[in-house]
Amino acid sequence: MEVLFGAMIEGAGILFNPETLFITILYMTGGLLLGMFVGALPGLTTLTAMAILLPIVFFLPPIFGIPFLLGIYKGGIYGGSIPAILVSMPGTGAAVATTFDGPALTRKGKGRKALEVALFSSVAGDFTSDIFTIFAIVPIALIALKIGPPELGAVLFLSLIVISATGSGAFVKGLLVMVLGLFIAMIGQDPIGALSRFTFGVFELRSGISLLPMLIGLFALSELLLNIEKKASAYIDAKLKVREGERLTWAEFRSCGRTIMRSTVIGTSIGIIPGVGQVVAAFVGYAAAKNASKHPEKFGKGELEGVAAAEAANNAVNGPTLVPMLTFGIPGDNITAILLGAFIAVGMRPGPQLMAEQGPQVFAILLAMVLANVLFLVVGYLSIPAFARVVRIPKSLLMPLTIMFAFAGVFAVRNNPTDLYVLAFFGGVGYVLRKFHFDVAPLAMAFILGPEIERALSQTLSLSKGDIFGYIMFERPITVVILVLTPVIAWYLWRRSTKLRRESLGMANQEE
Amino acid sequence: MSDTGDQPASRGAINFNTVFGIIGIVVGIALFIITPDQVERPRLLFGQKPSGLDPDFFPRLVAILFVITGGWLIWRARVLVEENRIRNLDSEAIVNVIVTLLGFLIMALVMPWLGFVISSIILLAVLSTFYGNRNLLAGAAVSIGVPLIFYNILRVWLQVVLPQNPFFPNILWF
Repeated sequence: MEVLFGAMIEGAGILFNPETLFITILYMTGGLLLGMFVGALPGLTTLTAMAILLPIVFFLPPIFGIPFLLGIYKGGIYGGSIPAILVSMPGTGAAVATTFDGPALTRKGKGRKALEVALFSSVAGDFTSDIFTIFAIVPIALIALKIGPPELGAVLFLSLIVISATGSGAFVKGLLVMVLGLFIAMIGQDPIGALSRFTFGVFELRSGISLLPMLIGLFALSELLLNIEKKASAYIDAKLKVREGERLTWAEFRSCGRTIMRSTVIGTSIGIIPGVGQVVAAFVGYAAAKNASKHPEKFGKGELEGVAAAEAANNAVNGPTLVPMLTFGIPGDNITAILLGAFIAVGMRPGPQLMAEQGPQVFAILLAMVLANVLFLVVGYLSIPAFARVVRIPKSLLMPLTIMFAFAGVFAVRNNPTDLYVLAFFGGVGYVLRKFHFDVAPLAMAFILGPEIERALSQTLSLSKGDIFGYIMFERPITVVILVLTPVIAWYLWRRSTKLRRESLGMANQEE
Repeated sequence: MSDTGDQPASRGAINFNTVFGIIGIVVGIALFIITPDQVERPRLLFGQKPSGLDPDFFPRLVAILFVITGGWLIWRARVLVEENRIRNLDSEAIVNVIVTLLGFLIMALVMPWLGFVISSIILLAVLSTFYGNRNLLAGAAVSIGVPLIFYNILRVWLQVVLPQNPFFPNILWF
């Protein structure tokens, strides 16, 4: 325990080092601005921005690169609320619930007020959940440090099942793409003896499929293909007068305090569950605020609390999703899969040993998240009028630029032309899978976690000296408990996430 | 577990989910069969195999999982209610997606040979016009300006060199 608290203090020393602090702040500010820019564009998601900008992280020290990506993450989730409030077009899925009250406020000439309450609620939700994350990570990291290969293998297996169960498609379809991900991860070399496998005589496959082009193709290019089905010369033609709009008063913000606190608790709780994410959190936060309100009839007609509830909840998800990733190496959703790739790229391998080996660096990054919220408040407040104009940028110019950035980023990392084909291939695969109602997240997660599971399985076999059943049954009771509980936990989380998703869908349809 | 689909399209009949289930089973069987040929054997140490996992074990496990999940999907496909969103694509969407996919492929093909800036200019000019941009000035400014700026930001700031143009190798910024 003292070691981890020592690491926390050392991490603060790394972050607040006078020689690097200014550059870290610059990168975080850049990330926040980029995230808000992308989030403000309907059709380009935070995930797309993070996937495309991931290669930049490869060339930066961890204390600059990871906060840069975290800035994009935070800025992007808030940025999605800008078009949601101004023109009723959510920039990201997380901002759908914001469209219930945001546009009505804009019609009343309170667009600026709505954007400000969204910003302050987002920062409040995010800040509180980040503090929670820092303190939650210590006990969980202590547990993670005590587990061996059998328990780690069981936890990774459990997480794959949970990710498949809580994905957006049918459970069995999540499992099928998860198995596909395990197969793709096997191409190249096995993680134990570096033996060649499934290369089919193709020399380029000997080093395996690279993570980065696969992630960018699967998440960013497939999203782009879905968006480009319908051409549109411009996103928005509306004339927006945000600069002159009414400002939020302290009394109005204070009246939303209880709602923000409630939504923060909801978002933080949902963030810990892998695969559920911001969209569900925003809907649940909104529904809870409406139920608790003395004037529920005002919701949907331009209620500031409605915007505050959705925005605090979706931003409160950001921090807690990092807990399973950093302590067990389990990415809970698509965005944390990208972050996992970034951590690996900068030489920090998330998992049970991460906190023991690189604790100070991890805490420096976590504290940078908290600092990013302060920047978020300043940058967001000053740039609201500018980002209100972003919604008018033509899609016809943005989409080809996204493709260009994706190809440049992938090539920059390894200078390998084969990666460009891998990128194009997974762009197509991701598109087809998503059209057929397959969630691509389990594929990416299985690709990342597959070699870890295989390694843990091999080490367990070596430890068992041939009697794996007896070894696990009598010497590793925790492994038995995890394996027995896997179907129960998966079933419970599947029921819960399906119920929440249906309620969200029902609510969205009702509001329409 | 129950369905999560959108519109009644294929209940009870053979549908795309059945096809994916069959593909899963076929891939699983094929994987099981080719595993011995496609997995390198470990060298014997003093005449003994290394301890730990047999190199065939994990691939075979994945093959079995393919068959199980494929079979499960075939069974579930009878009651899964999901819209076939590929079949329901209109001609505009099909053309847009095919052109964009071709854009990906052409970019992958020509970028290492023509250089990043030239291939990006072509990609941006062609696709932005195809996607509906009719403001030629803005189109030209973005198509030429952004690749040049981006290329040089990477070159100077991050010391990352993307493929250079083959025609004027002495001009480093292009």
